[in-house]
Amino acid sequence: MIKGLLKKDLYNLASYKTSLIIIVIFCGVAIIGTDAIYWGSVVIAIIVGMISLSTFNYDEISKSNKYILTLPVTRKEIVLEKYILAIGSTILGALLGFVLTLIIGNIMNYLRPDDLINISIEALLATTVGGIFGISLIQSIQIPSMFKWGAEKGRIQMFIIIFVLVLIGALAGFLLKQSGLSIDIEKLESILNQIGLLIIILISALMYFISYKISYKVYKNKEE
Amino acid sequence: MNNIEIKNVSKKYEGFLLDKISFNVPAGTVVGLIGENGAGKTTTIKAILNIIKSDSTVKIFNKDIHQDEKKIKQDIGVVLDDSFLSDYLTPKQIKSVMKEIYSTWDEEKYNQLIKQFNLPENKLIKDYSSGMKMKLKIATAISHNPKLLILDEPTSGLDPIVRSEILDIFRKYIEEDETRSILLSTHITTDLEHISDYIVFIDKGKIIMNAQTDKLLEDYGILKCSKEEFSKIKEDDYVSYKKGKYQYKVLIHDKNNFKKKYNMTTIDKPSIEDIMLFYIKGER
Amino acid sequence: MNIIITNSSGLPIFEQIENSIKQAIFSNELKEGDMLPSVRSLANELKISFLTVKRAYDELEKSGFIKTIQGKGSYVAPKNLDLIKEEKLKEIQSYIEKIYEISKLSNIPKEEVNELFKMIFEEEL
Repeated sequence: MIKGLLKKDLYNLASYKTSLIIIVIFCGVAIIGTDAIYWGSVVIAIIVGMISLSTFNYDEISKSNKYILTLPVTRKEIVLEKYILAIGSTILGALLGFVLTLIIGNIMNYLRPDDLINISIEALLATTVGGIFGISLIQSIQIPSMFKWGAEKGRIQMFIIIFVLVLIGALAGFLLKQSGLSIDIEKLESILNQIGLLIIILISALMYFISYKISYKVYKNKEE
Repeated sequence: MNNIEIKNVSKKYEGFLLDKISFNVPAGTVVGLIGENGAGKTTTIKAILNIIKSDSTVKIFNKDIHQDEKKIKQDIGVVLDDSFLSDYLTPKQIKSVMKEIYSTWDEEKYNQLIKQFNLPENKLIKDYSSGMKMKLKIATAISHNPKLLILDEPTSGLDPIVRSEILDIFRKYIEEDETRSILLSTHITTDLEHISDYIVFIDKGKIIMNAQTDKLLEDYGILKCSKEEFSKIKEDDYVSYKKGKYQYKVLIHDKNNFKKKYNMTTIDKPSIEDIMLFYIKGER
Repeated sequence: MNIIITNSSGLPIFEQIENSIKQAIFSNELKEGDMLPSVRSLANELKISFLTVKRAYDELEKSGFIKTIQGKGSYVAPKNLDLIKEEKLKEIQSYIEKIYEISKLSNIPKEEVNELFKMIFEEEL
């Protein structure tokens, strides 16, 4: 049953694919422009994760929720499906961010051999996990609020969050470059290594779990 | 055997009360739910399907909807006026979703219906006309061979030719297996005269009539008479009346008995719409 | 078999169906053991409620024209001569009533009508 709902959402997103590709390219270019290469994995993870949330908008435009409640699926399954989609998109976004950043970094190094960027896998891993943490936080807040108030209000929130994040990322990269400092990735990495990337992922998982519980409570008594 | 049994379904909204709605949908019958827009038809259907919570007993196939919801819904096909799986899917994608949802999904039947209705398989639903969209919704609703169809305004906004096509689909559906039932709500009552076996009439959240369609059309009559004649009619012998400049029109609920009692014979056959209008707009 | 339903006739629809089927039985169009259409399919065909058709079938069964076997369907019952005679007598009676009406309206005395009767019957003999 959940598989059916997942298919529905994936088909909905498929009609989004052109915009998705454009966004990813745009961000890639923006990142190259600022030289803040490590932010790439964060931004891509977050954007992919955000896009999965837009299935709420598709449902709202088509007024799908009322119809879905007439199907032999429980309210629990309806909520669970959105979390499966969200977590799936986070994992996909993180992988995509990791790989793309690696590729873009190497291309840049190849194009500009005089201005080499030191790409450390450990540092990239750390920023990717940072991205996972960021998007899981956003999703954990957004999903229950979309179940409660609908996607329309949630969408405004989403754009604000994306905008602010991109802005902060770009600004930070720009400022760091201007001030002549390089991002002390090693230091950041060592901090993260001390806390342990695993713990951060566990915290993300916990946020999803709590968020799911809240969403279910909200949706259990929702009337369409 | 009843496919649907509801008792005392009540629901309160701001400025609206659905008040203790009770009726049955027997196996093998088509029941029409009629009433004005906003009378409570859709609310009743939502309560039956447990989309909204209500204080009530709702039994479908003799099982409580609040307990066996998922199991019951495997055997129901639903068409809602304003809601469907998604506008951004094609019929082909709908098929691939639905076969994961219904264990008895009949792909061949769906394909055949899509063909019969001339629906383009790879076109997004949002680009469909309203008639095509409704046909697709109906094809989707009957392709898992449900025992019960619940249809909210399945013919509203459609032209007469499409409407008659759709009614034929319903007739065929119920003829295929005579334990099936259909509950449909509509405000286009002419459709009901040719398909429904029972009529449940809701007005302002209350049931004001629940009757056999043929009895209704046979027993009721519209008397045309003068003011003087009207004054002779006892209050128990009519439902309501409309005062005109040159004549009175009176809705009578037992015309054979009326003919015996009074010497007035200009009695016309009413349509369901006439009856509905007399109930809602007539004077008493 | 023809079943013609009209709203302009004063007869209720179930009675119109009943009469059509009786007629088909009398004219031997429907023979003993022939199966009648199922209630639902006839209802769909005529675009009326199946309860109306059911009522017509029930009436036909009550008066012995058809037999219904649960789960199988309805069949034309073996012809019952008394039943047919009774039906035919009813038909004759309605014609005689018509004759009576005409003679009364046109002031033709009973004797003259009787003469006509005699003439027709004796001619035959």
